[in-house]
Amino acid sequence: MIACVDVPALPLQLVWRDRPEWRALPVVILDEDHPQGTVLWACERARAQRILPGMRYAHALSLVGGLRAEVMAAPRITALVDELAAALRMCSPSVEVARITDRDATEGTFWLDGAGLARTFVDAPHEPAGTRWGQAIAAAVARLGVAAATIVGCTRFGTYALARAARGRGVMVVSNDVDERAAARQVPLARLDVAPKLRDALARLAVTTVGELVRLPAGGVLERFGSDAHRLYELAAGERWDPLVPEPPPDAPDERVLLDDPERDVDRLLFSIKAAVDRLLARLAARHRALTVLHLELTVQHGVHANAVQAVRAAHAIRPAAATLDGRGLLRLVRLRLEGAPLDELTPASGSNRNARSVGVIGVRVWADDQAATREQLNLFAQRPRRDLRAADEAVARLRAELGDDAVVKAVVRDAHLPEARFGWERFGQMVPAAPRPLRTVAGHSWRPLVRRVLMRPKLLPASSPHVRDDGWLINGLEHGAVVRIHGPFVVSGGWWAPGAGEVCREYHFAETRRGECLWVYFDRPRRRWFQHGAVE
Amino acid sequence: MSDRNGALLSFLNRAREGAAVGGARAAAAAAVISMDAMRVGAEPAVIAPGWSRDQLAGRLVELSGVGATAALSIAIGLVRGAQEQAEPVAWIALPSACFFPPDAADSGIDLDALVVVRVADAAVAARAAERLLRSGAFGLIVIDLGAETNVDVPAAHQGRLVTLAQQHDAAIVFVTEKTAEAASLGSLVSLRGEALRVRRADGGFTCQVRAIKDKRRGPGWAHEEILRAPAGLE
Repeated sequence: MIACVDVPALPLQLVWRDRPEWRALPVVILDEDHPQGTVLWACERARAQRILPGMRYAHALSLVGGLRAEVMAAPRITALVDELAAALRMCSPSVEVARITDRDATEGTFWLDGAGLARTFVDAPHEPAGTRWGQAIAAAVARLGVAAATIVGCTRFGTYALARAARGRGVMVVSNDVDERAAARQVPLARLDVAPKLRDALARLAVTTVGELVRLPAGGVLERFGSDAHRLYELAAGERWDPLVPEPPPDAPDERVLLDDPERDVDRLLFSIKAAVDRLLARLAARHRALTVLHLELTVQHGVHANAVQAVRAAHAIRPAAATLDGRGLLRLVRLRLEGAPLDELTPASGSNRNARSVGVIGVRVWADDQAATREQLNLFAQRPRRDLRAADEAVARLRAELGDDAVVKAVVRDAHLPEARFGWERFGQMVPAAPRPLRTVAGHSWRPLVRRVLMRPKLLPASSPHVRDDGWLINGLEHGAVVRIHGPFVVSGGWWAPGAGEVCREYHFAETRRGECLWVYFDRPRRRWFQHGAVE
Repeated sequence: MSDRNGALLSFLNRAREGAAVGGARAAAAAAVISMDAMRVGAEPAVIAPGWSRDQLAGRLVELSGVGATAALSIAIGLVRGAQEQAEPVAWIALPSACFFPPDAADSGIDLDALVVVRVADAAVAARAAERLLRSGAFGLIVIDLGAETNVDVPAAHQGRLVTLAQQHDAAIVFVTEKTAEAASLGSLVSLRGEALRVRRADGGFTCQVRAIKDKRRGPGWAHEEILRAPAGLE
């Protein structure tokens, strides 16, 4: 027994779920928020006003003034798919999820394996087998505010074809293979995720349904339309082995902390636990789950002598009043539990060290039992950032008052030639959320560069004779060794166009010393002296 | 398949432990494991060593090296990692030298969101770090002491820094220039890494952090990254 759940127009349903008031309005989903953005999905109201997928956003707007549009980010769709999969796992342990990379289906299609579930979902005597299971699946999906079609049948392809034809409505149970195949053969090919080119080519031959496709000769389909068409043919004809490929459920997240030294103080221990609990809650929130039970495992060290040290695990299960993502409330419960269970009561159950006193906690592990989080819980969690940037600004202001205005700065990069002109320091204003940039690809690799340390005042180096420079130049004293390799020169010059401004002409080199240092040096041509400007570190 | 078996095994073990534990106060004694097993990592509760802000949070870390060192580049990598996690970062440096900002920008760092504090000496640096940590708003603070010799960060400062780092889940990284044989900044340093770089045949550099002191997992492990040379050093 297999069930297929098909959620039609998943991105549109996601928009309607978040903005119920848009259900009465024409809505489109765009690939980018730009007049030239392409319409990816259009609701029936928009379609009725001649807005079709593939149209430019500007064109669609010219047709309907009150058009509502949203750009759908792939992570949001993936999150909804994960949420649906988690809900469906309550109805079957084996759930296959169609991902965007699948050949046969788009996101929003799920298959469930019903083998062995007849005793869990018991049908009434007059009901076809799988009716109650199908209803449970439909109810699980409906609870998430999503419309879907649920087909309970015998094969993966048969249920899929029927689910696509049902257009997101109701539960259908097909009790035998023959009926399922007969029904699936009525399904138009246009309802399936068939490549448009293949669909149109078949349509020219008046092949528009699954049944008409399977009446064609298999060899001819392979020869004329290629392997993808042949694969579809075999699936439709039931000639191809098409097993369910369930995804393993995501691992239950856990967080661990190891402590430098055994800890007996509850307050200090709570700080360590707090960090782990915060990370755990963030991971749960990312999966749209809320914590129902916090499991806390403390590893307690017994004995102080190296040959008699043992670690004992103490497990605690802490249950908040309701499912929560509130870390502070949880920590209050953890404190009460720890204060009520002194470490001295923990003793090893066996071994030579039974009478040894506990020294303190050396490790903490937390994990959770969870359930689906409500939207309010997730919103509250999302609205509370992990770090308070205003507190950062206040700390910076205190530092500025103590050390002076110019002590707290930020670096700015400028467009210039001379290394010291390529950057500057500006007084730090307000803390902003960081937006690190993607790495540049150089010679096919996206590696970070080594970073140079720059001296604010270039250091004058001892003069060297050019003919001994590569094999005996003690650039930085004896302890650094002689220069063994030098890269350069890279000439930087400027100021020659402005009389009186002072001409600059430097020959930059990277000098590698015997000790391994890579110094960033230059020869100042007007002054005829060597300077160290920094080092690669 | 092995994942599912592992999950099932873990569930069964947990259920078995729960059954044995019974009441919370009597938690005691469900499982006894040897400290040796914990230290060598044979036991599943041991976290694999790693070099990321999350792994360094709540610890005082010293990153050092001489000669072919890559301490600054590795520290910049930590800054980038922290910024990717939306963790505010501060860089405390002495006035004589600092990272070359164009290289940091080239490493993907958002310089507008990086607080740079310029201080006179190591003691002031520690005090500045303390002030920033106390706000609870920073996830990583790098104290770049560069080539400064005779660095002395008073033990009292170090103690307060550790407490604040644990309290606010922040990592504190000192960048120093010293050999592996030299003593670390103090006994409160939880992890000391030696950062070295080795040129590769394809023009890149393998940068390695080798743990020479690790209070939690023991020394000896290493973390490697591949970096490219700055323009002109290829």
